Amino acid sequence: MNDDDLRALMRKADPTTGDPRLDDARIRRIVAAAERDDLAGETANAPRRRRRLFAGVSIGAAATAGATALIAGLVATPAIQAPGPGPDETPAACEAPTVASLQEFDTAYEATATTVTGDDVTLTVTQVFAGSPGATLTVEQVQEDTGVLFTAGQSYLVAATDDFISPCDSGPATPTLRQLYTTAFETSSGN
Amino acid sequence: MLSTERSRAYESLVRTHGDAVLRFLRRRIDPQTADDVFSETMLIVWRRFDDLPEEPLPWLYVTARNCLRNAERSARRQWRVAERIITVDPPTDTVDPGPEEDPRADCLRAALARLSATDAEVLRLWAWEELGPPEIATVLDITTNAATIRLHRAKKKLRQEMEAPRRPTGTTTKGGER
Repeated sequence: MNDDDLRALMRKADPTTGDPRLDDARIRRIVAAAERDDLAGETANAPRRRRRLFAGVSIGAAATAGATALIAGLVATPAIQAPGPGPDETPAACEAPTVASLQEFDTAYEATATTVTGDDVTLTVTQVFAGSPGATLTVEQVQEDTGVLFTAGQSYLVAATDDFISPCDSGPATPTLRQLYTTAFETSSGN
Repeated sequence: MLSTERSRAYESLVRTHGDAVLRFLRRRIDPQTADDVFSETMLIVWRRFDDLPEEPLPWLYVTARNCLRNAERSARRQWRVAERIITVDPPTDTVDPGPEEDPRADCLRAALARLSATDAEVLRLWAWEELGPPEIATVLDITTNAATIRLHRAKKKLRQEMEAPRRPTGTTTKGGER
């Protein structure tokens, strides 16, 4: 069962499937209650008023790493998220991988993309940091905001859990990223 | 913003997103409490209307979720309706499966109920609220990376739960877990 099938099946089990849509009379009651509330002031239940964030700022600016970090730092407060690409699984903006984020994965390795055929990518593993990926494996192409991750002939550092490759924590094998992988998995590889 | 202009903008928001917020609540609590929490949520939205982001839906879900938690705490304090708070299983009394329900739906509900609350919630946000990892991250106050990983793991666990043979009474299948 692929993701689309799973989601379709879950939708069939949605307990609100038979519910009517919010009707006009209820909407008018909600608006009227809000207008009456203008006189009532604040309540203890209301979330803390916070600064308006990013109002009038471009989506691109809101999607910067700095904004993402700020968003992540808001605790128990409705946070503003840069509009994403929709309900798929491609992150709108990746945070830079860290030792902590890499340690979320049970498999990490360096590999060369030997062939790329459609969405199928064959990787030849050259170094294992964690897990047992095997000598070669075929994975799905990873979609990124700017295109696809794997290009034949290039080397990559890959962080994965089972068959899921993190687009945010995987990337071309650069010395900086390799050092991060080494640091993240040096304890586990030493076991 | 002028008050009439604000009211019109608010009404537009309620028309666009109110139904989604009410459904969000009805999927997590009994209908009567959901309606009450929905009213409270929308009042808070009105009070915070000037703070609304350009893409308000995740923010609305966070607000609804906070109100729901308040309702849960209140219910627990009063030693009542604890059984009405549904955090794992959807409220079956609101399910209207109809004659053509997919026979796998029951299996899915049971599997969903066996997942942890966190895994089940991630899946609900993904399938029922139709959110992607960035929006799930906002609602759950976690990073997008973490949301992506949690979603992936939750889907895997749900599939495993659905595929796992139900243990016959008195029989233990060693190594039955995949």
